[in-house]
Amino acid sequence: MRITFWGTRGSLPAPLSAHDVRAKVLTALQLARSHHFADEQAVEAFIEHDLPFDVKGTFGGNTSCVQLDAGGSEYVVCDAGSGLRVFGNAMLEKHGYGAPQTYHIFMSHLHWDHIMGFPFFTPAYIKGNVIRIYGCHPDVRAAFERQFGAPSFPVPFALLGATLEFVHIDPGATTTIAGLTVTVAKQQHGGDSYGFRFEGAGKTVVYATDSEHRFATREDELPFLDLFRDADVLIFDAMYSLGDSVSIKEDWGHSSNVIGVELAQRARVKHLVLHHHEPIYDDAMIGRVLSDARRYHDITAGGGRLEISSGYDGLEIVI
Amino acid sequence: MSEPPILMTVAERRIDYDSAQHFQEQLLRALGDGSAVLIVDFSGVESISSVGLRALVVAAKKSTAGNGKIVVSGLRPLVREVFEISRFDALFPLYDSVDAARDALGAG
Repeated sequence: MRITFWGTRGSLPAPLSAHDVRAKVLTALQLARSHHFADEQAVEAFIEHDLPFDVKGTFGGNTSCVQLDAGGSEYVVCDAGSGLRVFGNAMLEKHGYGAPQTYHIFMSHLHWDHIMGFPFFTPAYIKGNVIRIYGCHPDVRAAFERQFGAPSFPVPFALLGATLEFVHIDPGATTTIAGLTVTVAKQQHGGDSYGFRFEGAGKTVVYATDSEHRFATREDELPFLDLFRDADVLIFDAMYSLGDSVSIKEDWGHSSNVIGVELAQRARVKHLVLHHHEPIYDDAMIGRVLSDARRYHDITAGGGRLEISSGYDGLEIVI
Repeated sequence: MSEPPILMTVAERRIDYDSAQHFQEQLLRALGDGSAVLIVDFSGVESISSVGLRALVVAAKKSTAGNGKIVVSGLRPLVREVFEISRFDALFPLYDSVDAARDALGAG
């Protein structure tokens, strides 16, 4: 199974500024000062091995959109944040306009950062494409439709060329969609959100974003341990620090790297991917959230293995 | 004259699901009506998980409501790292020892 992250930012898009790019160039040049590069390969090797990710790259600024590819001919994505626009453009580049495709979009919830990419999802404008949007909320269609038409958008919803189908999923249910077995669990978030467990091709991926975890007893954890159990990859909302999430940002509906590590350890997850990055964090800060998560695991693991990554726009994980 | 700080020495070696409830009760009892200035000494604590840190926040809410104060002393290196990773060092003043905490509170 291949997982492609098209959008990993929380709440709203957070593009780099000219100042941010200049700071990266400055740091890279400073780090390169003592090096002599014989050829372009040497430059590439320096970038690959000597520059930290937050200098040579960026975690990216698009909001949530994650694609799962279990090898079928139909496409599966989680959430329609601004990353969906990039995904749609990649699909056009791959298939052109004359080869209709089927897209399955699973909605964790309907907050704006999770639906804002849909008006810019070009495949939705192309006749012949089929787009099925799955969610547990009762008003999924209304949330999508509301983004279109005056005064917010020039195109009315009715002019979309693709066939759109809105499919309700019962929380707690297990269904088979596009060759994947999908289990859904309710999460704590303003207006509720839902986590998805996808099983297919012998692998398990859990997408659990926009979820606050407030545990006082072991029993409180159990629904999430069931959802996450033995997952090959857990995509987890690590927007805030634990300190913020239990104090000034309590009830804001998000979790932390520390809770992600603890749950992943107890559920025997193989690979934890931190997701839904705080938009006020720069790349260096998101890098620190990741290194802190790895260190917390080292301190607390008792020998257990857990790979930990930070999602970034463009990241691909093959399991 | 304000009351001198109360010292609470944490009894648990590990603060996790098995012990967090007791830790929280101990904290709330020590705080009284919430107006106390409390030094929570962690020198005997070897590990703390998120549920233990949350107990500290529950106590901090009571303390804030009662115009009290909670400070933390004696964190072992790994426990201090957990405080820093969790950004709890921004929520609670941390001191190396009870004496350092008393000095900072003007009660040395």
